[in-house]
Amino acid sequence: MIGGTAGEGVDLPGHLFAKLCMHAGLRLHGNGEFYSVIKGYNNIFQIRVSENPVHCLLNKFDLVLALDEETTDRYLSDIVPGGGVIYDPEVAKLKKQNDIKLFPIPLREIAKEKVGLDLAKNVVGIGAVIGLLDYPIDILRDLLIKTFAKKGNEIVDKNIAAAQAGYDFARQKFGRDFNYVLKSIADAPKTFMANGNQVISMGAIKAGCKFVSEYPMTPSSSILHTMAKHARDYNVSVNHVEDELSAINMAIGAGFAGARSMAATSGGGFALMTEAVGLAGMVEVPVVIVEVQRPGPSTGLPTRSGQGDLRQVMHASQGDFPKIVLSPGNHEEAFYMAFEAFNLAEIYQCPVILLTEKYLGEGSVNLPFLDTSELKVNRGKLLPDNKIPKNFKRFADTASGISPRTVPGQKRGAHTASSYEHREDGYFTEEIDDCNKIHERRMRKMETLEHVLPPVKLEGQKDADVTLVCWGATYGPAYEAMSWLKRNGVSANLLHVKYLLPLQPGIGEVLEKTKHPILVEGNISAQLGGLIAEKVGIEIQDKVLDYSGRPFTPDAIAEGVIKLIK
Amino acid sequence: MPKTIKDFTDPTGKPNWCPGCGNFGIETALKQAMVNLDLDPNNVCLVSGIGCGANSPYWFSTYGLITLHGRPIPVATGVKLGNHELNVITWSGDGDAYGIGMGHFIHGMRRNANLVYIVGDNTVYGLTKGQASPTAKKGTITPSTPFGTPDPGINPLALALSVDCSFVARGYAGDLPHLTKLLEEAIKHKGFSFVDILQPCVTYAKAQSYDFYQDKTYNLAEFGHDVTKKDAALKKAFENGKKFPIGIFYKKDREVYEDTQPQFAEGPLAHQDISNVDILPLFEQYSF
Ligand SMILES: Cc1ncc(C[n+]2csc(CCOP(=O)(O)OP(=O)(O)O)c2C)c(N)n1
Ligand code: SF4
Ligand SMILES: [Mg+2]
Repeated sequence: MIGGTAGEGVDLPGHLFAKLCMHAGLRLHGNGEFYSVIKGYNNIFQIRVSENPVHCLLNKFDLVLALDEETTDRYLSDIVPGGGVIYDPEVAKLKKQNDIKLFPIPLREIAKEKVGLDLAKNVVGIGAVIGLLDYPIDILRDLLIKTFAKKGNEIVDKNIAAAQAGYDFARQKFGRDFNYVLKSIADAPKTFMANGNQVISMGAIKAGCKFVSEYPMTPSSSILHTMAKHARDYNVSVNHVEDELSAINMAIGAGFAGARSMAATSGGGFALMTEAVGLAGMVEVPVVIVEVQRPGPSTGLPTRSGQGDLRQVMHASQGDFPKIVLSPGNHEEAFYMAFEAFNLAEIYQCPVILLTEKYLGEGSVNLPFLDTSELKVNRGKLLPDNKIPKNFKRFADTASGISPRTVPGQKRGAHTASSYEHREDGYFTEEIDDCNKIHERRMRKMETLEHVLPPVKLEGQKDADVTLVCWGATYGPAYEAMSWLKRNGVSANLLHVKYLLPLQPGIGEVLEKTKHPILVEGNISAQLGGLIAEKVGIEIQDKVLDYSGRPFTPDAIAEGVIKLIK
Repeated sequence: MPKTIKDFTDPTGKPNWCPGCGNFGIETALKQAMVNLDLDPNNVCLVSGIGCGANSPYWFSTYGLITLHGRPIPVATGVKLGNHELNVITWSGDGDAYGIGMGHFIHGMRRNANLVYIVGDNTVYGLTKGQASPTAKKGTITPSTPFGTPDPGINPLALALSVDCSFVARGYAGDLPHLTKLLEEAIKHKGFSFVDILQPCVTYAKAQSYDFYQDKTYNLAEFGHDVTKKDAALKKAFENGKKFPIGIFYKKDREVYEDTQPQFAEGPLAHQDISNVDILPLFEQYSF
């Protein structure tokens, strides 16, 4: 873990270390915890590495690089026995510890002396980390060259000098005094590293998303940034617009024109989009909205994570209309679900909301290159030019509820799509029969979808003492909590709900057979719990809820579960 | 065969505006402009907000999209960017444009996407039974302002000029030949073509009647107005009240939004092949 005061740059060493682990063939999970200010508060960046996929983070650290005193104050007690802390004796005075190793290194002084810049202490620090972990400095050097190439030779050289100095100091002063080493794994598959927002952007690009309109809002902004960065390579029009009202309405316009479109935001921005979510439902235009949750209400905790918006997105906009809400459990699933979201939007001609949280969106992992061979773009009932019948009715009544669709420019396909209630041909109506018929037809799309949704799967051993029930990226920590529980003599399995609207089938069947279901959710009101009670008729009594804005960790979940069953 | 107004008319129903409503004039002039420019109805998308005038797409044979109160500009912009080969025409009321949708109005003009923005300026909220719109003069008595509107009306043309809108014009629903020509110019102009149209509401804005406008409107072109001069245009924009100049106030060649993104060069986004996007280079880019 790397900690420092905002402005000291904990991101850079975090990023460098993650890349080195990747190079070594390891799997990792990284996350930053920041205050919503630019300068002055303590920020940390944590990275967990393993030879196997890393499902989540822990709040226990093996090695801490402390750039400020607050880091040692706050986190010294979270270092595991045998672990260590690199710190600047100029900044923090630490007493000798029984079970953790102290590595005092004059980070600032070295930075000043070698490159004339106090701020380079973070790079000195990462050099020291590499020295302690006995990893080849050449690889860090190559990485620095790559990272700073665009900024010119001088910057590259300064960074290399800083890293080398930190490395040398650590090696000379502490030798092999640390029990951990960073070792390369032979023949590890090539991986790429991305946060959830980037992975979703990749899934969207793969799905042929051609249009993005967004207004920046933490923690969703990196979707805008990522899409903008790759916009020209993939011919995607990416637009930073005046507000979220514009963002969603523009995306709907592009969807109406026949371009796959997306808008991303967080809870507050989504609230502004609400009216237009209903517009998309009414005019039956495909559009994908990514909502990356942070804790509310209102401005809430802008840079933290939470799962408090499930009900907001489910119930967004007046009246009843088809709307799909899905939420991925981890980064890999986020890629595939983003792809799927665009297909669902076009097949069912309705808004699709991909609901994630800061923990996933801004947390990074590395993944082996994902298999895309099975991914097929499905544009639903979008009619090719030669299949448009003479008396084309855009909102025709059908058994599935899905009507054939045309887009502007197509001959014989012209129609008016209206936010007012309308007939099969699109013309307005207030006749009872017409209104009922089209309302029922629209809602029938949800039934059609329910029939093809894959049922939930119970993960882990079959008959367990407890069944953890969760959604979204609580999946990772809950998954690992199973093994923590096992070590404490409690057998557990896991039910992760991926489709929230319509609610994924099979939940009742699974829950009826479980001994003791326990909800694990990142909100105070157990929003999924309420949904299951309403739709499945099973009230899950026991809950482990965390609304602190900090990510769930498996040990904390296990602890919560054990309290409930003792 | 040359097209006629019939080619742009949806035969399903007839406009349900009050007899004598200024919207009839706008509808006819717009259709006639499309005829004169020989547009293809399949290639026109008429996007509107919510209001009396905004019901117009039902009565056009083109593609139409009736959106939300205040939101037609972003929707129309999305349609245009989704398929920039379309003729996108946007139709708002003055409440739609200058009240609830004011933010989009300003940013739409800044953005300068190549679309037409028609605003039926009747000084009231017609559809919701006659409350004051943002262009109502201070002191206007309406059901929502029984003691007169407390705030002065806004000046849409001056606003447009202040954000360097690339086509700023005013039409009058009671002068069809002039309005038709003006809309033709608006459609032809490359950029955001804003046309505020004095639109008598015979039911709720009886003071702003055809009689009221008839001898107060005059054609700028006949008075030697130079459309390239912004200060002259501004002067004219502030002439409101006693006289209402109509015609093009200001026109400028400005880079259109679509041209800022080379993404459009390969044809409309909606037509680009998405069947098998190669994502491998991205994975590579994010690896070590
Ligand atoms: C969000 C929202 N608020 C209010 C309304 C009610 N409403 C419908 S039209 C309208 C005003 C219409 O006035 P204007 O845009 O000037 O159009 P006009 O009817 O005069 O043509 C209002 C307030 C609405 N439809 N949506
Ligand atoms: S209320 Fe006014 S604006 Fe609306 S249709 Fe009647 S005359 Fe036209
Ligand atoms: Mg009006």
